Amino acid sequence: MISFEALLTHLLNGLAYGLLLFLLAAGLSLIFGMMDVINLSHGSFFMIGGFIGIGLVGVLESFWLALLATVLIVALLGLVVEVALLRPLYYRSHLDQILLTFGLALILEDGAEWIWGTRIQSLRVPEALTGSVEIFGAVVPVYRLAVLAAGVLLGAALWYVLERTRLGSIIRAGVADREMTAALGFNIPVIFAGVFVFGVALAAFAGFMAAPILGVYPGLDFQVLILALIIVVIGGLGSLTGAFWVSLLIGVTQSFGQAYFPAAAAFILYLIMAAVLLLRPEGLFKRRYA
Amino acid sequence: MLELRDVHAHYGSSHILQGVSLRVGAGEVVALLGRNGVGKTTTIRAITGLISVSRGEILFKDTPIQDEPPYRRARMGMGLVPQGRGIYPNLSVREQLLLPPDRNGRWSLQEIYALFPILRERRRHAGDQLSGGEQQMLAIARALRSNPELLLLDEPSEGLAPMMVKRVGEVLQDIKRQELSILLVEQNLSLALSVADRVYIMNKGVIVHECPAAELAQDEETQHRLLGV
Repeated sequence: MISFEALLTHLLNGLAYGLLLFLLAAGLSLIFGMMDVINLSHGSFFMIGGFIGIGLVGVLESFWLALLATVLIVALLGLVVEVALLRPLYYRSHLDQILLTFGLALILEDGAEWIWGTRIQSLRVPEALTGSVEIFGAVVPVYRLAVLAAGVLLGAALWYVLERTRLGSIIRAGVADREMTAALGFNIPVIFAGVFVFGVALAAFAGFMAAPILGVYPGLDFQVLILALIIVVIGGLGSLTGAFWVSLLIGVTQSFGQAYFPAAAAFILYLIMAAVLLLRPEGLFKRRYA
Repeated sequence: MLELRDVHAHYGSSHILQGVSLRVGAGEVVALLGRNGVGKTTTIRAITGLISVSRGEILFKDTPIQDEPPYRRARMGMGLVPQGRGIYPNLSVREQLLLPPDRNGRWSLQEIYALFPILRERRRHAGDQLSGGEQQMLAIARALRSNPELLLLDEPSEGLAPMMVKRVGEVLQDIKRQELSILLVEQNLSLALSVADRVYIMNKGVIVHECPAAELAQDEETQHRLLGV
């Protein structure tokens, strides 16, 4: 008999995992929507966020300072990648972009293995967020709740900026029609770089926050990249709302799947994706920011 | 205001503009006419910087701009109403009107709503919920919002019902009275002749005829020969 408490624990864990995936998928979706670039190195920034985070927590001895520094460092790395590698490829074919970003992902994974080794490293939860609380009898680690809160807050902030601010309307305009937006007086390459760097920063943030839960190891990059790609495909390419709900669905599916049908957990995801692609090839949500 | 000197442009290997020269004076309304596929839209794209010029010079307010990126040309005071209207399906009417960067001038949101009452009514609707005529009004209004000194319009009557074509004509008359310089590409000859001061006719990538609009209105032979009317 499966207890209600266990179900609730798995549900909350799944939601926290889903929100981390959402932060990753949101960047992937935004970058694709705006630049028409499928960034296969997006998961690498998640992994690197974890590795650099673990190193910096050791040096700075503060979880929060390390979080801030990690996001800034990885964002800077993203800026270099955008300006030096991606920009010359914007008007080339998808295949060229895929080859470049896939190659970059392989290099970053090997580089990570060379620097940090293959061992799974973990990050200690900060003092303030240790321990667990009881919710309706279910025992839930405080850190998972913090991840839930951070994910919801960031998601809401992202939605607000995109839908309610002028910056957001410029970005949505760029997603819909690059040329028209340039002809209205906006410097598209600068906006592209901004969106790319922001997406990378979100990935690094998610990778850092995930480190205490998932651990960090070479291979994590492709593992989360595939989940993020599934989310973006099922949610509808370029739909942030779609990415949000599908991330939660996938997080919870994974959590329950691993608890109750470990052999079928991954299979269930692909089954959902195949079904969506067959029945609604454009994804569950129409492309439309947000 | 605007001058093109021997402008050449290519799409891939095809040589679309083969030496276009034309000028639009301050406060002048100039129509660029010609059959389909003679390079009218490409001329507009070359002026706005959406296609690069392989040879020749484009002067805007006496400054060469052929090497400037599109956004800088827009900020110098060029407004574009593109072919197909360029309406964002995912932005509301109001968002699209607030989008253009602030260049001081008379076209405030209130002014725009006074000229286009329908846009005030529809301000909360997304671009893809508008009719073709409403989209065209929005495209013109959005271009005006950047307070341009030169307005480029590419086929504003395309795909519109006769009633709406008439409305576009009235709007263009209104705008003309604001002393704006306008370059108008148009297939609808009577609309073009009703607002233009002067016309150029293009054929196969070059300007083949230039005359006052009133003169072309009388010259049925030229209309027939170059426009196939």
